Amino acid sequence: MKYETVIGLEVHIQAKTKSKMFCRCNADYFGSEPNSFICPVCLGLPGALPVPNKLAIEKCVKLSLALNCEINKFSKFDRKNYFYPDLPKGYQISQFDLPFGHDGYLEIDVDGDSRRIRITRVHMEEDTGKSTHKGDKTLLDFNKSGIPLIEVVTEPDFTEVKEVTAFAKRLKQYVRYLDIGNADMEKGQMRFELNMSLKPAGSKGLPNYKVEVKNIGSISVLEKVINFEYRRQAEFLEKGETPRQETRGLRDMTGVTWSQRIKEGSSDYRYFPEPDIPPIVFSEAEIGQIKKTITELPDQKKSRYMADFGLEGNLAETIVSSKNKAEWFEQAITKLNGNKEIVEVAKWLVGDLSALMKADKAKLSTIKIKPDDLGELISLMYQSKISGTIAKQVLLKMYQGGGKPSEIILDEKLETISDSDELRDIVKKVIELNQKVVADIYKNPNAVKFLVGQVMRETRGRADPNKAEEILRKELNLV
Amino acid sequence: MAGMSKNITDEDISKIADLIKINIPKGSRGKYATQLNTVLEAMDVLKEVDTKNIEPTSQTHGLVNIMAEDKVESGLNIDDYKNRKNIQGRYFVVNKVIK
Amino acid sequence: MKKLILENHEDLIAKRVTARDLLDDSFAIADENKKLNAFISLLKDESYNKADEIDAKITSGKAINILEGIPAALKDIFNMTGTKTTAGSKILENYISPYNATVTEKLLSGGAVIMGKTNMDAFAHGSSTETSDFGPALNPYDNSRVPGGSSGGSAIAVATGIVPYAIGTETAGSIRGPAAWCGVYGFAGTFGRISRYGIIAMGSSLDRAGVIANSVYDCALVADILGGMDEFDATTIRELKTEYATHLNDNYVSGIRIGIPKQFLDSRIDKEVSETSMKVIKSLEKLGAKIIEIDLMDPKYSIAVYTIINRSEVSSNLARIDGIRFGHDSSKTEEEIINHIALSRGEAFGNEAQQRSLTGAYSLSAGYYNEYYSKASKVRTLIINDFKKAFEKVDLIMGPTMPTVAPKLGVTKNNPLFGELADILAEPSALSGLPCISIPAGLNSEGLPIGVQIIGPQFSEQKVLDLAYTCERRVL
Repeated sequence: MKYETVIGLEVHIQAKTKSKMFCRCNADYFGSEPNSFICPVCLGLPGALPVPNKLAIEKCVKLSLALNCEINKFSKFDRKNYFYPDLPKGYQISQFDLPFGHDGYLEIDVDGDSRRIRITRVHMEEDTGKSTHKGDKTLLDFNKSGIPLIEVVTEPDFTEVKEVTAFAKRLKQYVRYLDIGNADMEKGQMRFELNMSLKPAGSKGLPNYKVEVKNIGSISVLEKVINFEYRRQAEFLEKGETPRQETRGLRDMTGVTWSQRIKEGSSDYRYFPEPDIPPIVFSEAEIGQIKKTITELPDQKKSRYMADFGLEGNLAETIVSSKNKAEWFEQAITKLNGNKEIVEVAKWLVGDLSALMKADKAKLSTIKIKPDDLGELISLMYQSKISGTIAKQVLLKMYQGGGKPSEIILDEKLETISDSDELRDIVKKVIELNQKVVADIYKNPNAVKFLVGQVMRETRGRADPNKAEEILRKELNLV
Repeated sequence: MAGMSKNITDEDISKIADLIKINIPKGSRGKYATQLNTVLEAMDVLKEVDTKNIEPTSQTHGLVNIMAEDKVESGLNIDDYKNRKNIQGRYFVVNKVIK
Repeated sequence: MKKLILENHEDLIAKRVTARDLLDDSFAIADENKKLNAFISLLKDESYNKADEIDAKITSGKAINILEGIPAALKDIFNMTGTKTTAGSKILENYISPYNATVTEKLLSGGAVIMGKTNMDAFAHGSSTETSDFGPALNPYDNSRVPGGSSGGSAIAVATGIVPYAIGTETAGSIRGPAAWCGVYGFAGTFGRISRYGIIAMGSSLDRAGVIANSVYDCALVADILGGMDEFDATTIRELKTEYATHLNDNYVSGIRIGIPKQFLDSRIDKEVSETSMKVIKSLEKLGAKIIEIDLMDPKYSIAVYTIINRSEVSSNLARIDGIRFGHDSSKTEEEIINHIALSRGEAFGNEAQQRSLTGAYSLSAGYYNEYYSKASKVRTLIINDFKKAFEKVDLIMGPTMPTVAPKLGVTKNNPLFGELADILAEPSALSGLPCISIPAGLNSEGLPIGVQIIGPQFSEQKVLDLAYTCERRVL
């Protein structure tokens, strides 16, 4: 590419709490009637005062720690003053110079290559109300006003779109793994703002302009926006011009951006310390307590799976993409010894089982198959108690009706037939029934395969194919 | 607004007024410019005070870590809300913000 | 109506009067003093309902609290459900509170009969109550003069006998000042003692609710009832309640070190005011107090700091008044809502609100933050430390409450700093959030009230009240 992208990301994440950030209104507002979760505080009535939500702050600190940030032991809230109809107080309570977390990083994996994206800051603020445009009017709903938001800001370390999407995905996983929030983008629980510019490939330093794109609501749109902006900005640079430094927005999900008329000077936010909220002071012990609640993160699991089990990167990535899946997997392999079996479990989880679940839109937590069951199934397969084909049948039966693999195999007589005598009888029968093929045995190289296939058919997949072939060849006096 | 001289002009008043969204008609800007100048001149006394190594105070009570437990409490009912000039149904309705 | 709360309470329980009688009295006196314009709204229906409720309670033989059934007045800066709460500003002319301030809640649950919302400088931006958008209030001692502000209406209500006590707020000297100029007692405890929840905010780090009454005991009593940690205000002191009233000591004088700041007695103070103040102080000396002259930072610094901090906080606090969810909405339909907001605010914000918002915004703006707000915050620390140092040498500070007696109406018009100069003696302690009280020390040769104030270190309300009580009982 002729130009390199210089991209920084700002991610807004709604923290999952029962009540709002500065008042005790119900925070579970999505889908509710407009203006049904409001109070003097989040409605910005004269005289109302903010009282910060302790759990929201703990979640912010937790995420900061997971992102390897330093925690400001002395922290405070500040007022960010600007006007917009959905900002009822005419200011947003946010954090300016002493955010809870700062100077961290997140390591991402792009095509097997590990890269580090630096996190400038992680801070706490409140969400605004919702504006819905209807004709020449705007409808204001303050249910969302005051919802706790955690803002993660990165350095402009992204140099290509793959890095951005990898980061976004990983961050979303972190948010869910750590129970910071649900990060359900369709509900607006995680949103992106992009800062992007281009510079000639290989050049040093930062470009002399920056374009900001706000309100990006999904990772796929984020990708489209980056690609669109690349083309748009490159056009200017090709002509020897500099793209205008401005804020742009979206009108749809196509990735096309539009300039927003922002008057000069109007982004002077006049930050000053929030007088209504005393500072927040953390002790080492408190930070330590929060740190203890950080469980193994997806990238840590991925590394561990690859190192300890020899799981291939993409497969590991798929398993760790959700905490439920990873934990289900870990449970499934507890009784297994060999890496081969473990890898097989992974493949089946991601392959056959996922396919079954997808068809029903089922969840791991409610399907009839328990992790131990899959583990046992694969184990039996590896002990050659059942063939691969039979195993798939057992999987389906377990999925539909529950039950333990060993029981199903016993009940339905699905065990692999490896006993020589039993096999010989069947082989003999197959030979009898296929005289024509037998006659062709020397001329037709596929005849043996066909006959083995017939043995499998005869046994409904239960024969050990290798043994069957061995016996067949013996019977036919083949080498 | 860096670069605005201490001698506040009507233009300056116009700029600040836009920031804080108070419409000040042309005729009144002069009055406020004068008032603001008077006030700012009085503020010059602070330059006389040495505040090297002094921490700022924004709150006098000395409290820290005042936070609330994450508990839901009931709030206002929009149907009972008496300031209804801009309410239609359950929404507050205003003219569109032009972007 | 009697002047003291306890007297009225005793009359009620002895059934010498009913709550309705008291209220009738209250409204009658209010009517007689109508021209003083002490009230923005009278709450006839609400208060009579309440009075009747309490009378029924008394009749049925149930015991009543000390405030129960007694009329009170509330500065129109306190939200009270179902009432117009205007903060003295046209822009909130029709704002009907959907909730009670914590102070309101405590009064109502204590049985207080709130008979009206009192007049005040618009958004509390003033020291005269002349800059109310609902017309100036007049001093009961001389109707050509201002009563002081911003809690002028509350002071008048007590001074004229409409109510035995009224609630006001103090940001610089907004309780002390009108109390002094109207000849009554005005008390504000340490910042954070009484919840600010529901008080229309002016200077968030300065605003305090306080009591105006006819005695120290009444101030203490009401302060005890209103104070305490509030889950809706994160800046309230973490004590569940205070008990100043029951611990009042009228012999808090012997050996007590009283500091008189040099700055409080300088040439800017009116001669009769100084003399009257000194008389009180000398009397305390005769009773055993040690009078020590102390040197505080020149109040001009406090004025500068106060102006910047106050206006910065004000400009931010007024931003929520955009005419959308409440408040004046311009009748000129502007195409774009943001322009419409500016129109609505421009139309209905008074001169002070506009001027302070402009100044505040300027002080906070990029490029000026360090020069103004940040610098002011640092000097504030110096002022606080200055007091701390002084209180190592003295127990309490005394001096005149105001530099003059009540000035004539019209004084505010051409001087944007009028409020600050008038508060020259109040602002240093206001910035530090220190407890203070103004007690009526006598009248000047024109018959105008002079007030003397007592300021104590942080959290020393008991001492402040004790010395005031001692003055009240043994000196005045």
